[in-house]
Amino acid sequence: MKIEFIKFKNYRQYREEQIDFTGVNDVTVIEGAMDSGKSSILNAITWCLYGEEIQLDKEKEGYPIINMITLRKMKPGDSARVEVEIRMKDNEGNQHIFIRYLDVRKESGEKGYYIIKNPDSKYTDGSMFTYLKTEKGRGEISLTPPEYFLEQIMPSNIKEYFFFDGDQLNLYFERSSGEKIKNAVFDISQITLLADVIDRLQDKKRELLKSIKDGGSAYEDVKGLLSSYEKTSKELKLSNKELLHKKQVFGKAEREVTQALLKCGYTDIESLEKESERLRIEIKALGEELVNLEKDKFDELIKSALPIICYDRILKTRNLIENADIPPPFKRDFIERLLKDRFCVCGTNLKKDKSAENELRKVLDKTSEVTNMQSDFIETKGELRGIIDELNTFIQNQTDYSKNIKKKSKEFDDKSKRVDEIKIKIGGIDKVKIQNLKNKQTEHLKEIEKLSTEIGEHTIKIAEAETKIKQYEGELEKVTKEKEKYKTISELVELLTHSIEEAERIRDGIIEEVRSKITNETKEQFFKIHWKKESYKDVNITDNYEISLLDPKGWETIGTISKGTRQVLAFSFLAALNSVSGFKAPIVIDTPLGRISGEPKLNIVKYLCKFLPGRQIIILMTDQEYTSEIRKELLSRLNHEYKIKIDQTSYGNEAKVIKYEK
Amino acid sequence: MKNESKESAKVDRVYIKEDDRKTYSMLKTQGPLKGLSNKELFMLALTLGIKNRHRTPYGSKKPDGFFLLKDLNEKETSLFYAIAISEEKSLDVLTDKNKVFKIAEEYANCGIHLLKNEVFEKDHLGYIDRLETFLRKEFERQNTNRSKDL
Amino acid sequence: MPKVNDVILNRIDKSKVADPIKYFLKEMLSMQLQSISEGTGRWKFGKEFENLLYETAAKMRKPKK
Repeated sequence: MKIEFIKFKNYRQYREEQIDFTGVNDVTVIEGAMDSGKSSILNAITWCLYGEEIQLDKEKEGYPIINMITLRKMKPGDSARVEVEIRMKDNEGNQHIFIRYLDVRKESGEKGYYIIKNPDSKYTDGSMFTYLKTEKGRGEISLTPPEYFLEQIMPSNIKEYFFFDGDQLNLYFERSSGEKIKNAVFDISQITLLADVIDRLQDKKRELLKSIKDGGSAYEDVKGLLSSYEKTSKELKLSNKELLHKKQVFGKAEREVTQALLKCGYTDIESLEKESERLRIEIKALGEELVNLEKDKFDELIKSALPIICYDRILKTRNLIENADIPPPFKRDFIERLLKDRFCVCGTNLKKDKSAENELRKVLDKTSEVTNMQSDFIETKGELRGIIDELNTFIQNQTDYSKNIKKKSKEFDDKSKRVDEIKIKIGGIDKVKIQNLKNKQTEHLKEIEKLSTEIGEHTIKIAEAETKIKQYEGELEKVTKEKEKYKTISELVELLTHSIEEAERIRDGIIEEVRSKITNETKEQFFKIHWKKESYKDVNITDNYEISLLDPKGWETIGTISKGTRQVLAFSFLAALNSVSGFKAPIVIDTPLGRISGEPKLNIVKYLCKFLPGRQIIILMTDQEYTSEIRKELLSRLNHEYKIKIDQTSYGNEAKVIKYEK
Repeated sequence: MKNESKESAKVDRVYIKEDDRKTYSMLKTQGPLKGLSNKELFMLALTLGIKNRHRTPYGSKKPDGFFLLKDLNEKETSLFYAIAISEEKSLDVLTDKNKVFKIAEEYANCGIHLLKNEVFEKDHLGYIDRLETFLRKEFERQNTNRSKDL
Repeated sequence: MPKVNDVILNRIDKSKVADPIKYFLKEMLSMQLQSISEGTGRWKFGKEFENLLYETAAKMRKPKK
């Protein structure tokens, strides 16, 4: 990668300037006196690429970034743009254009200006950074964030090794700078890239492992369950078969017993006993009926006895009553009353009429007491008639009773006879044998029931097992698929594992290689350039990129080395870094020789020539640094020579870069 | 006819001989007539007495009350009347209730012994059958006589 | 134009793993580099990565000719 040109617009001393770097050779020298704007070039570059002016000395702190002439020319309210454009070209002929700009508004008042911070800016100063890439033959293509691109080739945290500021040697090899150097080294040597790939592979591996965490075992589990249920089902079915057979055996035995019972007349017993029982009840009822009949018959007999014997008398009495004057013409009482009252019915006063009274007395004498009793007679007659009527049915009743009694007695006897018959019959049956057989039968039936229950339970269990079997067959299908998937995933995991292992091995190898390469390069360069080689024995770079410089005694000297030595060490390290970056970034060196005195200067310069062939080197030197001696050394690699000239105008000074040959 | 009111002595019960009470008891408690009431036994005794046409008067001993007249139903009372009327061949006897029942009592006084004989001296298991046979015969005889009379 | 360092590529070539894995790693590095340099740092090769993974696995399964 080489810088083709740098364009300045309103940037500090450079109001409108362009520096061209293209050419056959690699080295460009820009000579400028102190404070002429030399450092501004370096600052411009770092501001453009990193948004940071790497070198700000005290004097510049007061000055705005915008060119003073432009600012002075502006009216309040006017705005102007500060811009730095760096155009680079890579080995494939592609152009990379980096532009950073900042707008400034002129204001009245003390400060005089106001920096318009762009709201989309990612930078503290509010500037905007664009990056364009043009590919050979094609138009301009815009690519997103240039920061990423730069990090691969010129990481910002080691920018001091690409944009070397001789005035700030203290930046180099600070304690705890190792970490940032290490990170930058890893970035440029693409160890970070490799590490990222490893991370990505590991993430994927983790993801895959998670997805199959139970993959393998699930298959085994389901298979296990399935076969256990199949076994259960089979066993139960077999068991049921046996039980059924047993049941049949018992069934047969039970039938045999039943036959035997029949032979013994068992069923007879039951029916006979039932019959007997029924008969007994009937007999009892009959008995009661008979008793009642006998009683009724007897009662009637007794009741009829007197009437029958008195039959003649009854008739006679009836005749007498019938023939009697009933009702009588008058009652005796009546006559007595008349006599008592002494008045006759005809009205005759018997007190006066003695003959009438006597006549009446005669009548009284003739009148029987019986005349007073007419109601008795009538009643008696009635009753006697009743008796006769009742007697008329006597014979029939008695006959009926007798018949009934006879009939029921026969029934009674027949039934009793039957009961006796049954008793004999039952007595003939072998009760003991029957009881034994009955017991056996009960046992058999119990067994049969037990077996039936067991068979039933088994059947249910079999059905359950079958359901489960169906279920697990389905699941097995599923987990078999899973297993296949698992197998695939296992393969992938294995692949990833190997890849990761290899990548890590490569990474570790490269880390070591890079480190030792850097160490060796640094050491080599250092001892090549340094004028007091014997003062130092070794250069070491730890795994954490802490650089140490050891004296012959093995003491650490890094904290106490001279500026010159530090510079040499820095260059050496820079060279070493560049050798491992795999990417040839341009190098800008400001005041390389400023702090160094004497012999080393020449050494460094000599060295610079051989240092990093093929790399673009831009050197910013003071006129004191750029001696003819130095120039002679650089000549073979020299591309351009520029000088910074200060133009003085009414508005102020501006810097111009002009070609120059000494 | 002398009309004497013989109603002065109120009659409310039927009497038996004191000596006969034992017999009645025996008949009441043993044999085929066990359980019959005093009245029923008396009626049977009366029946036998009438059949035998023999009346046994009381004698010197005071007669015993045996059962109350109100225990007799109308039919039974009528029978007593019929016996008395047919005995005296006149309706007039009814004016003397004492006499009416005395007639029956005298017949029963005789009849009780006959009853005892029938039941206990002879085969008493068959007594009821004999009674039945006898009454049937008697009844049939009456019937034929009746038709004769008609 | 950023490309993967030869240092890394050489090491991959020299390694003892199977060729498909070598190819796999090289491709991964390319994709990673491209992703960083072009994008916002987000991995934009999700599908390509999956395909690459499966293809590599398939290659691994084939008997070595």
